Amino acid sequence: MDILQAIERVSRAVEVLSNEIKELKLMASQGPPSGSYSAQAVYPGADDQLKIVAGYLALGPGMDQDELLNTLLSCAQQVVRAEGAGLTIYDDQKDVLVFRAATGVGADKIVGWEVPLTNSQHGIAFRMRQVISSTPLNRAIDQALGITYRNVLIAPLLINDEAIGTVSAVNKIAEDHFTPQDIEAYTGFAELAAHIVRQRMREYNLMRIIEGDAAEVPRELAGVKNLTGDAELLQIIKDVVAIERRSPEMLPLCRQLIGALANMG
Amino acid sequence: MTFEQLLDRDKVLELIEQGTGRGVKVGILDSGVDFTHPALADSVHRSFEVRESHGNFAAHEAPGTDVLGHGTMCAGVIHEIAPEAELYNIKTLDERGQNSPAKVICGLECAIAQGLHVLNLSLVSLNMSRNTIVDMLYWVEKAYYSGTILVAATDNKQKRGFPGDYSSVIAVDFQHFPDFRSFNYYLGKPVEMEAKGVYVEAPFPGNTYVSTTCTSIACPHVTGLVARLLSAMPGLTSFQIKTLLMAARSNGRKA
Repeated sequence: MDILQAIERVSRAVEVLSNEIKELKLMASQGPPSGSYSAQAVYPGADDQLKIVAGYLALGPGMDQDELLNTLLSCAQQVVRAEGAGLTIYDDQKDVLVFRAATGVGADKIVGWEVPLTNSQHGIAFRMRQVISSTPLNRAIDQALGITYRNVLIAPLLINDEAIGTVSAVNKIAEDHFTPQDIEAYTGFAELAAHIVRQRMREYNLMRIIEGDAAEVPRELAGVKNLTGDAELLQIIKDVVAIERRSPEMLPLCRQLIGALANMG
Repeated sequence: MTFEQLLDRDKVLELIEQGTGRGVKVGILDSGVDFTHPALADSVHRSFEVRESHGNFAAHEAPGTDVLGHGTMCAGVIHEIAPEAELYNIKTLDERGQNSPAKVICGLECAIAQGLHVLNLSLVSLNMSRNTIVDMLYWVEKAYYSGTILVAATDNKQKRGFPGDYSSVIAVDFQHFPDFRSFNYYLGKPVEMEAKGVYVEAPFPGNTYVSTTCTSIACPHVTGLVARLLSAMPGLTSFQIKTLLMAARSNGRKA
């Protein structure tokens, strides 16, 4: 590939990504996109949590992974006033959703648990790409964990209408059900969460290119497939790296471009 | 005088009360139906599965076992509202839970071929290509002229999607109503109806019940309502059904 062509392609990709990041930051700073609902009105800390998430998106790959997940899930919990929250990622080999992270009630037991897509509320949210509020959660999960969850709210993690997992909240505080307002709030929140997971995936891929196999696979991303657009972008970066190795005089410029991709925002 | 004043709401409500679903064929295009569930005893008349072979889709008569639980919930709601309706299970989700507009189109074709009166579509396809929108429209139009009334759920995020966006389809969003008799109708809006979809008790595979809130569960409330109207007054067209629903709408009034 011609070096100038490669640089031009990367520049275009930088521009596209930069716009996406701007949108994400705007979305995060505005909180859940709802007419009547306000995260602040439900829980005083929810807006602060969203600001942290927005800050993370602005900072790029500087935040500790556990800190990120805990922030994301405590936000997932607080936005709808729930006793717990969980993140599942789809494992296409086993055709199950796997809990990669959780906070609150039963969190220590549920991470690693595989939720079948058949006859489960998680399966419905994932397959039908719908936010669903349900009572109860799942008898098999209850039995295995020795916890009876009263109710659950599940949203699919969608990127370009492609589901990669779910984010869920359990046990609505002081009420029998999650409400339609919770569904509305969670719909917007899940959109933000999906972009964060995608962003992590992009960062991980960049790390792999820069550091090789030494880059550690983030726990919550295991099993996530690259979206078509991201895979193309990855290929562009790989091409640039290959050119850099063949033509060392281009090294400063290539580094600058890759650095721009890695630290955008 | 307004158009609404020409319509007698009380008479339409009477029709709804008279209807039981008798003689009405209702299809559920979904993930399958668990017809072994006690709540659905003897209600499923026939079952079909849409299968793919070398890129072509065809509906085959098959058990149509539910792979998700979603179709069973919808069937349960319809059966509760129109207990004498004959349910037709048209399963489009395969074991991997994959669905596609092509499968939905094949399911529509099957519904028309079976002479179904109402078809419940608690699903929505977003980001369909222009060609696919046109392909699906062909079958939606065919359903309209064949007398198969299509009822479809909207997207939870209220994004535009199909088949709900076609003008002849009754698109349904969820609302907090006490029962199927209460609903809103908005003339001329892409999403014409709001029906009960909050805290709905519905049968679930494994001989259980779940309480669910989503647009998918609001859709079968309207399907059941249409089945009641059709059993009370057979032969109503899609246009006539919409007019009656508008006349009987709650929109803030007590049902």
